Amino acid sequence: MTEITLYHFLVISSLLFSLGLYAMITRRNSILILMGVELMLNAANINFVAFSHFGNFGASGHLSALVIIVLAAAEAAIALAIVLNIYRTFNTVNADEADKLKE
Amino acid sequence: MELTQNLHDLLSLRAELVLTAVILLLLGIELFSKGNKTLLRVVSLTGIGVVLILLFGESSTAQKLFIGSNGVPLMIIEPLGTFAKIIASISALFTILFMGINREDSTMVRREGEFMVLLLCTVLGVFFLSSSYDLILLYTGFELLSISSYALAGYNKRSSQSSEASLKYLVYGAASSAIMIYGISILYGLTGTTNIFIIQAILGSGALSGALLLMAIVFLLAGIAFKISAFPFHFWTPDVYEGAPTHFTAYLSVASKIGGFILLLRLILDLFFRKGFNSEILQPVSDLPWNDILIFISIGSMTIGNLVALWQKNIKRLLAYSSIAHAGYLLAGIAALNSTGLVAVLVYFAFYLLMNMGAFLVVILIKNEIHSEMLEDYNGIGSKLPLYAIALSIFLVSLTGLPPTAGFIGKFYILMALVNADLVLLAFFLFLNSVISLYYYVRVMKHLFISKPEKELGEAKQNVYGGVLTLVLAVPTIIFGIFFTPILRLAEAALKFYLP
Amino acid sequence: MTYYSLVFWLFALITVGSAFIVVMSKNLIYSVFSLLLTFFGVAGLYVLLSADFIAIVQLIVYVGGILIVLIFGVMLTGSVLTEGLKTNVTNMLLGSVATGALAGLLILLFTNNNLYPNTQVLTPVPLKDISRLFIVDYLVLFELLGVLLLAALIGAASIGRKEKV
Repeated sequence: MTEITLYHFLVISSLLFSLGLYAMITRRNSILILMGVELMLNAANINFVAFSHFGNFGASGHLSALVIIVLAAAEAAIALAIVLNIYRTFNTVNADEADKLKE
Repeated sequence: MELTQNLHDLLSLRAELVLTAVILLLLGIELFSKGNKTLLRVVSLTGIGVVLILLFGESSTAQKLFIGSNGVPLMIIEPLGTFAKIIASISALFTILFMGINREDSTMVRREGEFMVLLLCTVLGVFFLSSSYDLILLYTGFELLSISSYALAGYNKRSSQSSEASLKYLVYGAASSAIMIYGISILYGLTGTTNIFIIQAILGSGALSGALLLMAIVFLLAGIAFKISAFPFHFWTPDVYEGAPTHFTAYLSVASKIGGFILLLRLILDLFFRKGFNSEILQPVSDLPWNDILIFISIGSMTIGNLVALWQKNIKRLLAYSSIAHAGYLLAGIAALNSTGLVAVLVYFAFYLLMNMGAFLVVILIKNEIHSEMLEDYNGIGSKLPLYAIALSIFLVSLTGLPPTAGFIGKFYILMALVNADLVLLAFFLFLNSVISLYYYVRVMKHLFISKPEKELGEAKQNVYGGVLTLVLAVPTIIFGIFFTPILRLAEAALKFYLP
Repeated sequence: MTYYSLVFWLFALITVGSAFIVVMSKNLIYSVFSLLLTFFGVAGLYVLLSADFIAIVQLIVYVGGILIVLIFGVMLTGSVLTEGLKTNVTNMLLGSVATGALAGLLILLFTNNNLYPNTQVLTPVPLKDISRLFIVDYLVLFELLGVLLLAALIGAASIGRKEKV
C-alpha cells in the first residue's frame, strides 16, 4: 500500500463536499439538505485539519475547525426550532381546512 | 503580556460593547418586567442612538486592534467599515420604529423584546463583518448575521408563509455559507493562514497557482452573492421577502446587503487588490479574471431581477425582484474597479437605505388599512390615502433612478464610473435595465392613481405616526436628489484610506 | 506505516460510503443513521491527523448534539416534510453530472498542485497551543462565539416555543 499523504485526505474532503452539494441541488427535503450541509462543513473541517497537519501550520487550522463545529451546532439548533414550527403551522393549516370543509 | 493587551483592545471596541450591553439589558427587561413595551423601545432606541454617536465619533480614525504574535491585527476600526456600521444601525433604528405599526399578527407584539434582541445581534454581526481582517472572524460575524436572520424571518410564527420563508432562508443560507467556508479552507491550505494581510502578501509574491485559487474565490463569492441576493444565488429572495414580517423584510433588504457588500469590498480592497491606486484602476495582486466575474454577476442580477419583476402581482415580491436588480447595479459600481465606482457604490447605498426602507414602510401602512399586498387591491388608494400613495410614488421614482430624486444621483455616479472605466457594454445594460424597471414601477403607480377599484374600499385612514415616519424618509429622498454633496463628501471620507 | 494506511483506508471507506448512503437513500431514517457513521469516520480521520481534541469534540458535538437534533427533526416531522423526497430524473441527472464534474475538478486541482508533500511523522499540535490561540490571540473571536450562541439560543427558544393565543 502506498504512503498516506495530504492528497488522500483532500480527495475524501472533495468527495464529501460534492455529495453535500448534490443533496442541495437534487433533494427537496429540507432535513436532507441540512444533512448535506453538515457533510460540506465536515469536508471543510477535514481540509483545515489536514492542511494544518501536513503543512505544519500550527494550531490555527484546529482553531478554525473548532469554530466551525460550534457554528454548525448553533445552526442546527435554529434549524430544529424552525422545522418544529413549520410542523406546527402546517398541522394547524390542515386543521383549518378541515373546519372549512365542515361548514 | 499579550493577554492584557488584548483585553485592553477589547475595550476599544466601544460601539460593539455598547451594542452587546444593550442586547443583554433588553434580555433582562424582557425577563423581569414582563416585556414592558415602552421601556423596551426606549432602551433599544437610546442604545442605537448612543452607538450611532460613537460611530460618528470614530468615523475618521483608524485603529489597529488585537495585534497577534505574528504581528498583524485581527481587526481594524477604519472609516469604510464605520460607514457600513452606520448604515446597518440606521436601518435597525427604522426597523424598530416600523415594528410598532406592523399589525400582521397579534402575537408578534408580545414578543417584541426577543425581536429587538435578535435584530441587534444581526447588527453586531454586520459590525464584525465591517472591521475584521481575519477570515475566520469574518465568517463568524457572517454567521451571527445569518443565524439571527433565520429566526427573524420566521418571526410571524402563526403564518405558514413566514415559517416557510424562514425554512427556505435557513436551508439555502446554511448551504451557501458552507460553500463559503470550503472556499476559505482552500485559501487556508494555499497560504497557511486566515489573516487577510498575510494572504495578500503571499498572493502578491505570485507563488500561487491560478486554478485552485480561482476555485476558492468562486466559493467565497457564492456566500457573498447569497447575502446580497445576486445572481445566481438570488432564488431565495422573493419567497423570503414575501413571507417574512414586512418590517424585517425592509431590514433584510438593506442591512443584510450592506453586510455582504462590505465583505466583498473588504476582500477586493484589502485581499485581492493592491492598496493604493495606480492610474485610477485597481491592480489585482494575482492574475485572475475579476472584471469578467463581477460583470457577469452584475448583468445577470439586474436582467433577471428586472425581467421577472414585470410579471409580479404582489408588491413585496415586486420589491424583492427590484432588490435583486439593485444588487446588480451596486455590483456594476464595484466592477468598474476605480475610485469613482467605489464612491458611487457608497453613495448609492446611502440612498438605497432611504428609498427601500421607505417603500416597505408604505407597504406596511397600506397593508394595515386594506389587509392586502396584491397590486390589484391597490386600485384607488391614491384618493383614499393620498400621503401614502404619493410617498410610495416618490420612493419608486427614486428606485427607478429618475430626477429629481436621490436614486438618480446614485445611478448617475455609477454610470459615470462605468464610462470612466470603459465598460460601455455594462453601462448600456444598466441603462436598458433602468428603462425596463420603469415599466413595473409605473404600473404600481397606475394602480395607485388611475385604476378604478372594483369594490368600494372600506374604512381607511392615515395615522399620524405612520405619516411622520413616511415623511422622514420621503423628504430626504427628494432633498438629496438636489443637495447631494454632503453624502458625496461622507462617502469620500469613508474611502479616505483607499482613494488616491 | 502499513497499519496507518490500513486504518486510513478503513475510515476513508466508512466516511465516503456512508456519506453516499446519506445522500442517495430513499428513506430519511437510513440517511440520518448513516450520517452517524460518517461523523464517526471523520472523527477517525482527525485522529489519524493527530488532532485528538478535534476528534473528541467532533464526537461530542456532532454525534451527541447535532445528530440528535437532526433525528428529532426527522421523527417529529414525519410525513409533513418527507413528501419532497422523490426527485425528478432530469434534476438528478443534471445534479450528478454537475457535482461529479466538480468533484473531479477539485481532486484534479488538489493533486496537481504540489502542496506539502510531507510523509514523515509530524509532531501533533499540543492542546495547550490551541487553547492559547483561542484565549489570547483570538480572544475577540471567543467572545463573539459567546454572543452567537446566545443569539442561537434566543432564536431557537423564540421560534420553537408554543404560543398562547
